[in-house]
Amino acid sequence: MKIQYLAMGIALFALTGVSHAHGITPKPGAAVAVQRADEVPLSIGVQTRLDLRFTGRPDSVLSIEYRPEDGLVLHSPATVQLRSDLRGAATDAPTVEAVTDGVHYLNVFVTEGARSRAISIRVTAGKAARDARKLDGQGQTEALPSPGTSGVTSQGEPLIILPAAE
Amino acid sequence: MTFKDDMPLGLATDRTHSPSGFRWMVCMALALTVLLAGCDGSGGSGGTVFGPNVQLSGRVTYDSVPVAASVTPYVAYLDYAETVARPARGVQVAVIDDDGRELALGAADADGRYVLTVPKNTPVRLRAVARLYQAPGEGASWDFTIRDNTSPGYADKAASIYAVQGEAFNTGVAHLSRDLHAASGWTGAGYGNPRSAAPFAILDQIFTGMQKVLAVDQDAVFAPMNTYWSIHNRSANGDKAIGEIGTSHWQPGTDHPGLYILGKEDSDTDEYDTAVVVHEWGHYFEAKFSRSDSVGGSHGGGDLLDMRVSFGEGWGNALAGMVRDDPIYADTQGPQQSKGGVVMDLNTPADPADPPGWFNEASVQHMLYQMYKSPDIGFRSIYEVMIGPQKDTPAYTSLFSFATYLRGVVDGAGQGLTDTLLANIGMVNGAKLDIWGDEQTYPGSLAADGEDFVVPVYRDFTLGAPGERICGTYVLGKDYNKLGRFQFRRVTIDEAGAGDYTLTLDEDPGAPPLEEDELAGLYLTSRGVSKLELEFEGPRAGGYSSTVDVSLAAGVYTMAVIDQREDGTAYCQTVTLTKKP
Repeated sequence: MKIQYLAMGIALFALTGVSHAHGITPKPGAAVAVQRADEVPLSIGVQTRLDLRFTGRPDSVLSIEYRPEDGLVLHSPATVQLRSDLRGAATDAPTVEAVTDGVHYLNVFVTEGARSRAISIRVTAGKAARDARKLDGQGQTEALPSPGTSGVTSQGEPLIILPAAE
Repeated sequence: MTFKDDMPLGLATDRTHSPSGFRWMVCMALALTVLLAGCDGSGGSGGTVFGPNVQLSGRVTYDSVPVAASVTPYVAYLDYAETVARPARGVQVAVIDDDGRELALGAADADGRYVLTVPKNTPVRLRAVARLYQAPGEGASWDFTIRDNTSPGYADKAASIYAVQGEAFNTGVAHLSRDLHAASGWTGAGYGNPRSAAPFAILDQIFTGMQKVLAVDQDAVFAPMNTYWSIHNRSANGDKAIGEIGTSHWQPGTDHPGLYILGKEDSDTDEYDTAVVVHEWGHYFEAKFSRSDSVGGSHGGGDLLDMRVSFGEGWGNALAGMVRDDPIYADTQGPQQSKGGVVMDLNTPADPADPPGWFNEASVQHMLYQMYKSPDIGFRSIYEVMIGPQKDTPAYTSLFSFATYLRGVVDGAGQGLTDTLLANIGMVNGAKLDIWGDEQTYPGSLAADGEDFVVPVYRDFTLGAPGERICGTYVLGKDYNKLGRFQFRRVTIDEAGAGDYTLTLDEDPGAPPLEEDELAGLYLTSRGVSKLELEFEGPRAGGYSSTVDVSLAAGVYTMAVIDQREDGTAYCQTVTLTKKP
């Protein structure tokens, strides 16, 4: 591939995406991560194993606590202990059941050593699974419920107005 | 009286939306004959006042929920029982009529107090907006706003600003006082009411950070910054518009840049985790006042990090201590925000179980905080280095560059402390210290097979054919932001060498295709300014060998290269930089 550079300081990306030259800087935390191996939607009322991949330090103990949010029921133990392999990888497959249509989250608290990290695993069920496809840029997502009322400043900036005590 | 927008913070400002010039003239005329009576509601003592207006004054406060934390035992939680009302310092205060129009706009002072002039006998509401604003002009200026990334306007870069508003009342004919309080919404076992205080709690930490800077640079100009917070913001990677922000972080660039702060109850909230807010604001500071060459990414205690990452994260942790004058960094999470995610004592060196050094953020934060506390160094020197030579360093931003420049601005005692702190973590110090870490030796605490990938910190890159085969390592950490993954080169172009070059990046023959989440790249920069970025992200079926042309002026460049495979194998690249005939 031969590419002519026309301007100094212009970045060239072979693929679009977040450049590691300009990465986001997350808050400190346990050196762990959790990902769902797939994003297969759940059927409502059907118990399903979620394949989760953990990464941490090699050969370390990961203490896991699962806490489902509304709409999701956990059928396997809420706490487990895993040991990562020499590459820092571990897996688990908690069993969950979606009881309502929608986008739900399984909160996973992973403790390695003294530190822990909270990670929310998104699970879609029913009609929401179809809507979730819109998240890939094919449409607008539905607005989340707002905790306040709308307003506008004199400069035309939108406001979300919450109640105050006097 | 009508004040200007750009009055120094500490004075409540008031911009009444009425013909102020006329009102002032009337006031002066009246003052000649009615010495004790006020104008615009500025006089009188509780009775009916002259003129069309009255003064509305009061105090804006918010619920501050403290973090209870200790390192031993290792605990951190939000202590709702100890919630106190704190002044909403510097926030915008507005008086709104029935139609939602602003009748008066001002700012609270450093005690949350405000004074506004409002028309008599008018039904109004009092509103506090989660914004710190000082208009650009002579002297300092700022514009910090807390917005909701889950509001409809986010996609169009017009996310809603948080505000709190009281009940309607009539201004009457006499001066009146009205306080406004944003409550936490905590009802004993959860957030049973709206979390009105949260945006103001975040903003107050930004106010504190701002004051730290203004104390040593009274004319500091703060670039506008949005902070995005929502009760929906959770630790899931995905769509920020539905609260999937990953975690609290600073996002650089142009795509909705700013601070993103967690707010999901019972999972992870950070609005009251003051250290977390200031840590992320520290990244804003680096980006806008100084410079950060950090490549970001996940990091934690004991990680062996890329030196650019460890400095940036150590800086954020240390700044959290400096701004709050509190060495305890704590991050809460979990059900009812009752669990400690991270607790650190900035007065404690890095965990003895973890190798200390320029690659350990705990080493960096401890060193910076000790420098801050020292009367021989202090915040002013640290600030001057950060906004001065560190911003313009030809090397990457790291502890090597920072410590070198700091030694240049402090006296002998400060240099002595710096050298001691460097020596304590096995770093080159004294006259041997330079921004490149050229004299740095390999720490014995690190795995022996990592040495060739860590020192020298930079190698001089040789121009011309046949090029250099550059290899990284995964033995010190797997992620792209760990020590030894990126390899650093110093590229020197002399006057005779300035001109057009051809750069070739060749992956190893036979290397497998880049898989999902794998990445390879080459980054050439001059004092933080990108000259060339070649980045290849998996999955990618073909190879990534590339040839590009680049024009280089005389100077010193930094080059970082990486082939980040996750299959546990170290791959190499060959880089050739040849001047065109």
